[in-house]
Amino acid sequence: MPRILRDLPFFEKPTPVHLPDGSVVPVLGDQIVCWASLTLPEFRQLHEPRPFPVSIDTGFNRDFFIPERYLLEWAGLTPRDLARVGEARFENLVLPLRAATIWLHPNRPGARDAFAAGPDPFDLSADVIVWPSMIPGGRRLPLLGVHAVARAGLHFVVDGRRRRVWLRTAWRFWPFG
Amino acid sequence: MSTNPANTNQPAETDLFPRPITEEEVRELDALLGESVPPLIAGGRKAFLRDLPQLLKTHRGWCVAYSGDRRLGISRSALKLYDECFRQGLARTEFIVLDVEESHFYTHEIEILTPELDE
Repeated sequence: MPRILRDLPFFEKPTPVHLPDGSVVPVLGDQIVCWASLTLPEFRQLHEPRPFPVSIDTGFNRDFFIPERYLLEWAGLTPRDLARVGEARFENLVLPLRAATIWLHPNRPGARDAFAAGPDPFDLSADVIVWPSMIPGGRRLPLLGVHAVARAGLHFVVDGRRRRVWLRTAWRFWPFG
Repeated sequence: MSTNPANTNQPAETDLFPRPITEEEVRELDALLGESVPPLIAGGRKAFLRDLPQLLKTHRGWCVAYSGDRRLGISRSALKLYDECFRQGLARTEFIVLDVEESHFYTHEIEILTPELDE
């Protein structure tokens, strides 16, 4: 039973996240942030991971959201690299949905911005909303939404008192090994 | 829950669903992006919606892959279907993998509560 996020902390006050390229992204208080990579759907292994911070947003009702700028700078992809598979409505806008694979990087227990040594990143299929740069109103961080968690059958637990989060795959019982 | 029709605090069920995305809106989006949904993906979506009522009875919660009108496979894992389609030599613009869930019957409306990007 792979644990993806284990004892992942989130913080009462704003905290900085340092990206491998040297840039710093502020995370607001009580935002739950983990690290993910995004690739084309045909990739089944992360040969050159490009992890970036992602907010797990229980108020976001789709799979994955990323501003075009971050898709380019952090994932190294353009919107057109990802096949367009449909549309979704956001307020008065119609936005494209694109197919991708999201890789969630297991954290080192107790740390938000350090990776666990053991388990491989967990991959899940996602419809991605790439917020076009030409439209104002993108978000501060990419978002992982509740639909992605449900689609992958994951268990998501928040310990509010300790400000810790767990994310894991479902228990499976295999009677014949 | 009250069933009294005089109770006007409850929204009508139809109010809960966003208005469908029109062909005109899709055309406007196509023009803005300079691209459209690839034909085999668009055809796959259409075939999927046609088959969805039956799929919900037999494979709710599973994933299904289509290329145009052709159903390529059905599995509990979307990633396995992707693997299978690529193994068959299909490009990523030639098929679509969809979840067998009721939400496909209505428009995907997005709600985002996270603060906007500071530019």
